[in-house]
Amino acid sequence: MKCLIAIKTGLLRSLKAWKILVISWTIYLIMVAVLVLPLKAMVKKAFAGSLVTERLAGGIDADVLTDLFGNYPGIPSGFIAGSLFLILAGFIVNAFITGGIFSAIRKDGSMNSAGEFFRSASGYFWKMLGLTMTITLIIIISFLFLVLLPVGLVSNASEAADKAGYVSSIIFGGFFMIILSVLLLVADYSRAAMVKGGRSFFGTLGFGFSETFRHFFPSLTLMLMMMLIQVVYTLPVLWFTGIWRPATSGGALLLFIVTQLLFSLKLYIKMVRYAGVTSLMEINSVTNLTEHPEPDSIPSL
Amino acid sequence: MKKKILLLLLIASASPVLFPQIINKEPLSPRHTGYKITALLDPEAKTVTGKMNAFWVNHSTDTVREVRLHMYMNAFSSKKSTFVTEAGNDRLVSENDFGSIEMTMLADGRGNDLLPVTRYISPDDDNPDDRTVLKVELPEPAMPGDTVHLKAEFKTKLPRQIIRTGYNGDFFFVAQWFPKFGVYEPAWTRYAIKGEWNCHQFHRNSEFYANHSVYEVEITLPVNYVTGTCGMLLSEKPAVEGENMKTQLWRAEDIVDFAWTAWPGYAVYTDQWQHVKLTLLIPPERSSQVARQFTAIKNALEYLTENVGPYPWPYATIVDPPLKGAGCGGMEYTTLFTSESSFGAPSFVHFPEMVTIHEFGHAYFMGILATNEFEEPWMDEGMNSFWEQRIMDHYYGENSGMLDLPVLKIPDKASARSSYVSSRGRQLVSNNEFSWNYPDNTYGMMSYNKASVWLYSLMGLIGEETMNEIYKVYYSRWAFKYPCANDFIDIVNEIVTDTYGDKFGKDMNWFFDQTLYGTGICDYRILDIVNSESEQKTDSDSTVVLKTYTSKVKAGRTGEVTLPVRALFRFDDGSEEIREWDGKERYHEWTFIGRGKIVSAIIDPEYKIRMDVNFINNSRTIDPDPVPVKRIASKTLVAVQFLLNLILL
Repeated sequence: MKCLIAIKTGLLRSLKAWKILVISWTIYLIMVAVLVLPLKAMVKKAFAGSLVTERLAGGIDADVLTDLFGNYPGIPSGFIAGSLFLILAGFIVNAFITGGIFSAIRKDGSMNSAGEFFRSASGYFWKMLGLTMTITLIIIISFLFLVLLPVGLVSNASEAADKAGYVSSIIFGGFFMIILSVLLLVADYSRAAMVKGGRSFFGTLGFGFSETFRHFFPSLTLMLMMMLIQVVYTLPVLWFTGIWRPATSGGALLLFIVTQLLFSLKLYIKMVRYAGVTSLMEINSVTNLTEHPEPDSIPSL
Repeated sequence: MKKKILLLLLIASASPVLFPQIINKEPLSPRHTGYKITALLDPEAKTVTGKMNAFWVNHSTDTVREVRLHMYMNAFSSKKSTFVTEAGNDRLVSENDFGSIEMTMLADGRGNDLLPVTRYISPDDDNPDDRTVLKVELPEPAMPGDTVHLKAEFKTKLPRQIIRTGYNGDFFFVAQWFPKFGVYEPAWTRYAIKGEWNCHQFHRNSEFYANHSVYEVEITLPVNYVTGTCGMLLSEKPAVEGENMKTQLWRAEDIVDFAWTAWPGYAVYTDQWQHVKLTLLIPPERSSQVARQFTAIKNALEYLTENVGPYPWPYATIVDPPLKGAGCGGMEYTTLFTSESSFGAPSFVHFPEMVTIHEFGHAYFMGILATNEFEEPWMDEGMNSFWEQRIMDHYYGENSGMLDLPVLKIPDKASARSSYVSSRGRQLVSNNEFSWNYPDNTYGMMSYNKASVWLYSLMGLIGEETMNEIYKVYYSRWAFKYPCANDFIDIVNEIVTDTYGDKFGKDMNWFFDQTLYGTGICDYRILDIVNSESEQKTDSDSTVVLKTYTSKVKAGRTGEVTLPVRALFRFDDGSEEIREWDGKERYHEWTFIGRGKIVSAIIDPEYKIRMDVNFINNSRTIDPDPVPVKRIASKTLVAVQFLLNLILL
């Protein structure tokens, strides 16, 4: 029940912070366009008025892709280098904007202007970056030890049947999703606590862990629901984007607009997650006070 | 000469008597060799102990003083073997990785002990530590028509699964396991200029070459083992070796090798295609893959029967090894082959079908048409890949033979072209190379993929119907014989000339000189389109002015390979014109006067010359369509945004 209230609150707070959503979308667009626009120019130059583009009417064409990558080395190398750069830049930019987002979706955070957003974002930048990198590292290590290693061991056991590898990858994969949810909760609680203030970097991280485990089931339920919503949303969107092949310039423009709207909605869902966890933390703090009142908050008799 | 022919006919007609027919009424091939083997599998010791009675008939007019035997399993007996030297020392690490074959007795038909007159030789690389070819001096030379009988006792220690042979736990795939005759090639057989044994060592990148033979193999093993072999099961009975043992008698005719597998866990399924009984050995948990496997082999049977020739055996066995035997997946032994599926393999990925069709296709390309895989690997792997890709794209979608997703479709033939076009080593060596001589890991790309790509290009030039006709003649003329490249090229020349006269010249050798024997690449491109407008009065007094265009299209040949190509021109009034170009000059220009303004030009408009390494520059238009690039950019943009949003917390 608590988690449903938190999600409802998250939905409303994220809607209220629509300007922040627009800012986040713009930042994402610019960041990815830095990679895609030069690639687009290179592909356009490679095609140079070729009729081979007719073969793309049915979607990706393996021969054309081969020729693009094989004969125009700038394209694959640009794509690989650009992707690596993008991931690196993504970490930094994401750490930056999440400071602003978490500030905007607090209970008492009525901030919905660009100036306040950037002020908050820059204020929490280093702590957010450190936290993001720490949790990401833990996620990667967890994946290696909780999925790759056991599935590899099971699959390579001399007597293993391939069903064992398949089933074990589902079991360990499912288990990892739980661990991932927990780690995302830790990250979100820590970030929510960070913008609330009053704690050091490690203090917020410790709070993230303790809050997650103190209110484990409502927190986990919320996170699993949000992850499910994201998956249910993302897969059809990517499928739809893949099969939509407009043939006119107007259609191509519509494709751009619609896909960007769909991506904005994806950003909104993530903001709902952030706001939901923040709201849950606020609900939890009331519970905490009721169950374990802090000395200062005990009314004097 | 007449005497020689008569003698050969006599030998050929007498040979079947040595081994009476059981499977087919008439032998499909002359009886060069035959083997009767009794084998005992010891699952604990991982050994096969065998007794063998084998014969080799001297079908030549030569006096032959020695025989040569393949002792393949010794490739894994030493870190100094040619195989390990070529493959890398890390291939044999622990004691279990090693395998070997040891002859404990060898005698001729008269009981003469031959062991003292045997010695290992290394005809390919003079490696003194390689023990994969055994030379046996015959006490008495084999005269034309003579049959050399050998009695042998041998012990084969199976290695832990390595390049599609060996064991893993209780799984066994027993291949290259018995002493096997090389091929005696009389003068003017393939490339032999004098009678000689063609018996190569075991290399990292090589397969096999052998006579079509008769096999009668008695296998004794524990009763709980399920077996599959290259043969037909004639009988099964309790073994004298023990209560829990059984003895199976298998028979195979006219095949080039005999391999078998044994594992207690196999589930056995059967099906029928016309006269062919199909047997599938597969782990029980993969029951969902059974229908896919049978459909795939039926597709291959149908297509190859229709376009190449009939499959002559009444059975075929598919082995889909368990995960622990996965290293034995994807191998061919004519009437038995291994595929590679897995539990839960999604139906939109046609990889299991591809492997099944490819490996079954080898029943034709080196099974029936028994080319020398050591020396001309393109003739089995390349031709077979060409047919595999045709079958896959025919039955599973012209654009989705390999992968069939709504957002991404990949035809099977695209994988071969991709491998060739994107390879750094595509010009290092020609396609006419012994398998172990391909440098810089180019063996697979060259023998499978480049060959397939230029066979497609040949089909693009001469048409599908003519290509099929070539293969039908190739089959009818060379089935159960030992063709080489020249034999195939002769047929191409003959059929193309019969069909097209001198359209392609007096023969097609120019094509093979460039593709099979050459290292050049093929790349045609449209360089420019120039439309010059001029105005003309209809007559000197007229005020009516007509606009006319003089249009020029400039084309270039960037690669070394020259092929006749077609070019398609589109004009502003919507009309089209096709012009032929012999493709020889480095630069070519087409001029059209008064025909209208040229909107676009394309060389090879149907992209049939698949060895052209760049399709993008084949065409040019004065009015490029910007939509595809915009579409790609929008999709890439949003895909990267989603991905980035996914991986960032």
